[in-house]
Amino acid sequence: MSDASPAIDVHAGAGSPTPAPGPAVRLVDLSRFYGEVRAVDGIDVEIGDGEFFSMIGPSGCGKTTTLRMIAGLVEPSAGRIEVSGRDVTRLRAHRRPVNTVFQQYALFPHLSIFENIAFGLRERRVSRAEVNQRVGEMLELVDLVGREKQRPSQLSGGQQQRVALARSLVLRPEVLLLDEPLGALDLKLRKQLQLQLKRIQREVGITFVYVTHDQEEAFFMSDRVAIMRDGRIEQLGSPRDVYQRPATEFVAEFVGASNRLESTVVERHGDDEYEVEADGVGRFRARGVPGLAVGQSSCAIVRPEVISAEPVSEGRAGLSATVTDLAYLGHQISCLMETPGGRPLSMTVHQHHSPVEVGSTYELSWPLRSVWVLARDEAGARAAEKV
Amino acid sequence: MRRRLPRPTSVFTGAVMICLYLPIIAVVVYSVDKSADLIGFTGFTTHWYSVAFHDPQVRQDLVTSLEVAAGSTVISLAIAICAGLWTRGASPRARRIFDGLTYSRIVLPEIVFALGLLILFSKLHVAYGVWAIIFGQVVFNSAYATIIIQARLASLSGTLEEAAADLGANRWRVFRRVTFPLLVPAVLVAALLMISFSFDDVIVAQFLGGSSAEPISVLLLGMIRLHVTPEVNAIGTGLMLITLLTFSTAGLITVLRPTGAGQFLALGRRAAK
Repeated sequence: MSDASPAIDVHAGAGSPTPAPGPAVRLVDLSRFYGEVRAVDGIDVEIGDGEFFSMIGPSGCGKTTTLRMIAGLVEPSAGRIEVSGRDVTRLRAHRRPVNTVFQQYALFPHLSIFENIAFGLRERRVSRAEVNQRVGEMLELVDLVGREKQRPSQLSGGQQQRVALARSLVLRPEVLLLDEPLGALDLKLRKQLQLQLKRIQREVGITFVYVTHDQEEAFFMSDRVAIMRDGRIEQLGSPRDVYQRPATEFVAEFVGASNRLESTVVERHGDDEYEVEADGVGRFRARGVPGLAVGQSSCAIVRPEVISAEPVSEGRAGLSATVTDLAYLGHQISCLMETPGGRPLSMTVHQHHSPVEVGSTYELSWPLRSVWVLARDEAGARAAEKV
Repeated sequence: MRRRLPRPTSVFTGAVMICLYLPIIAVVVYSVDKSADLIGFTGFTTHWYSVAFHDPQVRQDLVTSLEVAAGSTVISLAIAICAGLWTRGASPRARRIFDGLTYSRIVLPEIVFALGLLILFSKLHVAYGVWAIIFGQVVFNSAYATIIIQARLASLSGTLEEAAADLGANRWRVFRRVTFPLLVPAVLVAALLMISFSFDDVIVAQFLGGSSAEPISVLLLGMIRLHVTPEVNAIGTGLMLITLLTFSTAGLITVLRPTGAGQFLALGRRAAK
């Protein structure tokens, strides 16, 4: 047994291409229309070599269509797709250096686990000895040694998912596309497989393009995420970036339930700092999306976890609110509250925090550096809330 | 406690069933009756089967029937698979028109298109015979096969084929390695059904056989016209057995389909161990 982790060198095979310069995937003005519907509407993205990249958004936002266009399963209406610097827009699916893990696994029911994994190798006329060796490696990587003679129907959902992954990885693709691969699994298994996926991605070093509607999952695993809405990318950045500095109200709402305080920009300080006036809170100074104008109707984002039940002090802003309901989330309690103006507000507190009671009114405050100001977009917020 | 009388519906159904199956029972009974005059049962014999089996005309016509069945089944299957694959990608409008055409081949009286083919073949100077019968039977057999294949294809998600293409298989390889293996149960069911229909067919065979080809069904019809002999009953019983056998095989395949016949057998072997 080797002491090092069994890293699989994905570019070691005979005849595998030398790593091409430039991004692993480049999408240029990529679009797909179905009649009047713009499923994907002019997307520009560069995905780096070895990156774990996720596309998230509500259903119908165009994330799966984008993935299927990269795979070659949907033809773009306009635009270009490059993989490792090579234009593959007109290539048929079976000629592209990418592989897909499908949402429902799409394992071949008439073939054994071994033959499922060997499927693509056989298409490439790989020698019998190499097929045995590479399939064996994959069975080890996804922890399914001993299952190779079974049929897909004899495996659990999580195991089938791993077969689907192995079947794609065995081909050493330049890019692996994953279409909600954990969507059909229960929560506990999802968490386990998220860890496994992350580990495998690190071990093989292949670029992963991941599609999910679950922002938590995407944030947990990805280097960068693209939040999509109506066929466009609403924001692209690291999970931290997107969470802390959402570009729009839609993103702010989609990446986690947030409190949005209606406000007006009163004064600008530099490019991205503003003096705003919010209902019930008064004037305060906070950072926000660059380029907001004085007098513009805006929205101050305050995450439930930064609010605490303490009076306003230096560097903080706040208001008072009455608790209307409590929800226990294990180690945390979610408090649903109402401001004197009748607006809902939510706050999360730790279990061991001094007890909060329904019906009581509290002085609440939050640090100004945790506030983020952005342009008001009622429709966007509603679209994200529906998810 | 008084037993309730049987419900009227059960009585009626029972009576109908008896009426429907009596003729079949009569055929079987008289095929093993010693007496040749079909009056009463006078004793058991397999003599008439031996007579039928050694009749050169019966043998020759049985071969013709088998040729016709094989030909029409194979051609119909090829048509059905192509049609099934095409309709999957067709527009809803084209699909509606195509389905209408398919069903019409089943619904329209066989005698009408048999007559039509008779006229067409004569105008085109196509020789009557085995091939003419085959083409005539393909008209309806391919329609049944198309419906069966379409049903199976509808239950398959296209994702499996997408996955195969994604893994590097071109269109032909996708068909050979994924689509066709998944269609096999439907293909078998369709084939067995078509063989039965083919054996059973009198009209097309009569119209298009000409003087060179006479399937067993036509022979039987001719024999009955003269005199119903125990030999006719023996042939009839033989045909019935062939049909029953193919249908029960088809039924078995349909029953086993969810798990796959192969897997079922494998489980059986494991249990035996």
